[in-house]
Amino acid sequence: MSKKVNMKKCVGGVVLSLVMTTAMGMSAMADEIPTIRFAHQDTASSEGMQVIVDTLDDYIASVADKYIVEQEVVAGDDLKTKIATDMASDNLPDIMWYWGAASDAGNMIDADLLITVDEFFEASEKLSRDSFKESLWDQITVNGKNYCLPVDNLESNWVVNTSILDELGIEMPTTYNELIAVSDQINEAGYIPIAMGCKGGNPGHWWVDSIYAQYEGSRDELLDISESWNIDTENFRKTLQVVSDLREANCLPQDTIANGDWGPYWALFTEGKALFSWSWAGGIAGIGDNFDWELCDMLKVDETDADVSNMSEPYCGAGLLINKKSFNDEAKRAAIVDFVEWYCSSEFQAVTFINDGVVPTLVDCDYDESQVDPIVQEVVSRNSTREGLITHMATIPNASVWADYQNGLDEFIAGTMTIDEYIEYVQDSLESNRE
Amino acid sequence: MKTALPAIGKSSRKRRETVLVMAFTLPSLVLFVMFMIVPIFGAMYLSLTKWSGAGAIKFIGIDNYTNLLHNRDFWISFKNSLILIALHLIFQLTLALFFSYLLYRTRPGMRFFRSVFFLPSVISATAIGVMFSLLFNADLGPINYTLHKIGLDSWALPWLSNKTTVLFVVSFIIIWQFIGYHVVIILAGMKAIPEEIIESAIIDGANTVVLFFRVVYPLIKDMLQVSIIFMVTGCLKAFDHSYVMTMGGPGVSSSFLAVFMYKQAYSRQKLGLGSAAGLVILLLAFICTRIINWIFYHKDEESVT
Repeated sequence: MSKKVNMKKCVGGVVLSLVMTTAMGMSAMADEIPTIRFAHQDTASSEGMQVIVDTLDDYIASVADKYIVEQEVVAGDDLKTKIATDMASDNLPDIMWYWGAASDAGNMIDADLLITVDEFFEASEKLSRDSFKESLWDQITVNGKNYCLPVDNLESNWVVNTSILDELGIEMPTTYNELIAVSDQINEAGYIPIAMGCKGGNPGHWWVDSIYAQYEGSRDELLDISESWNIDTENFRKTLQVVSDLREANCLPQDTIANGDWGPYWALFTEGKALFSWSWAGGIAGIGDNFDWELCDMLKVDETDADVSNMSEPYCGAGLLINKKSFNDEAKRAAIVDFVEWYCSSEFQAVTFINDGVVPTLVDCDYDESQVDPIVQEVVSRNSTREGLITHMATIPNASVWADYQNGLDEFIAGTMTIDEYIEYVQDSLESNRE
Repeated sequence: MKTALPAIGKSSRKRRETVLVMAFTLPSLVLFVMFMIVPIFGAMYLSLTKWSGAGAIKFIGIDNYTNLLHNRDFWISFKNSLILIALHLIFQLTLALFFSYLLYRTRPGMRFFRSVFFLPSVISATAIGVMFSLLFNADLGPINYTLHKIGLDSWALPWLSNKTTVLFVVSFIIIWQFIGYHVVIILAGMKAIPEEIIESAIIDGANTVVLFFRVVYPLIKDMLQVSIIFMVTGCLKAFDHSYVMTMGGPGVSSSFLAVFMYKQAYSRQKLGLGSAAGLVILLLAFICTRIINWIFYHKDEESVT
């Protein structure tokens, strides 16, 4: 009898605790605040980036009573691997800082995983298409639509080490042929004419496009790639010939793979080993004063009529992408809109401009000019009236083709692939990926 | 007085033992099935599809495998992996045997040197890759600088941009990093040899070389087998050094099968093709392991007869 009573007590206790747990859970659910996942690549890799990361963390902490932001931080191109994995496992973050052209976001766009910026603007009271500089949308237009809110806006420039010019007693070359003419003298003195490398396509593809842009009609060819699926043009062949001639004349580092990617190639210039190079404004601001240097125009291709004094190579191919499924979730939408509005706000853009040289994408951005690095300021003002060139990165219509373009470019710039082989390699990729 | 245990006791003990064995093995078995077997079947399915990771999955039968057969980059990566295996067997195995025997015969400082040999194995492959990229940098690195200084200008090559040299540079680094790992395995085998056997061989007049080939080598064959299997399967999944130093380039000159697989799945966003490449690696690892086991078993059989 007592066993039965104990059993009853025991069952009663279990039921009671279950009811209480459920009730508590339901009450917690009623008060539950939404959680949004934000994937990006901002790490505290420098003093400036530390300020940016702190500002981001502060804002996330300040809204913690309204919504929670879980940051998923992966630096560099590895972010692409993370997003590819998330995408394949149907676990895409709610908001992503990501590359917005078809060459990177194409698969997400084709699979209808993202909202267009217009859908976002409909829900936003603070931002509209007119809030952003109009010129930025070209680099992130896919099939006539925009899916990426532009925030990663960079200005670049060429730089010349004038200490080397003084040491060698030579005039500054302004064209590639002039550079080839003095290449032996530069090499004999232990310097490299152009600090440029190519690993995983970087930064070589930017340089190649700065040559390609000088040929008349190249802009139209680039804009037409998604229609023509053709890379084998006379202009592109001439461009590759210039690269090949420069390599033959020892104008590039011997080892373009070891000196490829963003750090190593730039180290050649900042270590005072190279006459020319090219970089983003933030990188240029960090050259220091170990040697004399100055900003200069990109070198002109002799056989063209290009006005290089009116050309610049800006980049605004990355920004915020918003997961369609999350945006359509009523519980998350307000949080997503609020966070994206803040991330694109004048306040945060001023922080990224001052601390990392990322040029504001808003038409009206308030910042204290005295706090901006004077070199960054100079690069921005120098390029403000120039025509920005378009790149293959912005126009190649497919991630596979873009990967092959970069992969082959490593090989071509290293001198282990001929012009014909490279063009055939990319053209084959274009044709096999055309659907 | 001794009494025989009743039959029922034996069976109950056996049952208890079975339960105990199950209790210990079940968690690892569940994990193994969840994280090894299920993904393998998942990869098998994906390898028969065309999928970028987003959108609809399209079943395409064996097209990915046919694609691999006609893929120039796959065959170059395949060849590179075979070269890597050959270099490992020639250099890493020989050096690991040499160093482990050296440590085995030179007792003073053995523990210290064993740690020294093992040290590179515990350093991240990424750090090693970055370090050697700097060392082999033809324009800034100390290797070419030294070659120029001592008048060997023609030897100063663009190591990582040259199709001929890049594979050997990357392979050399992998071999160097993991010699110590195999030294430890082989040395463990040597230390398990009873001291009396070695002493009697020495009393019988065996010198160091004879001692190695006639006594030590036959007694460490099991450990060698393990070491060789680790070497070969490690080569088939070699990724980090190549990716960090050259991204498998220029082109695919220093790409191994795992680099090829990664690039297909992630850079080119062709998960089906990447999965097919992954299964080829798995199949090769299985075949290589069976061959190695067969060779060692076959030799044992021969020596017995």
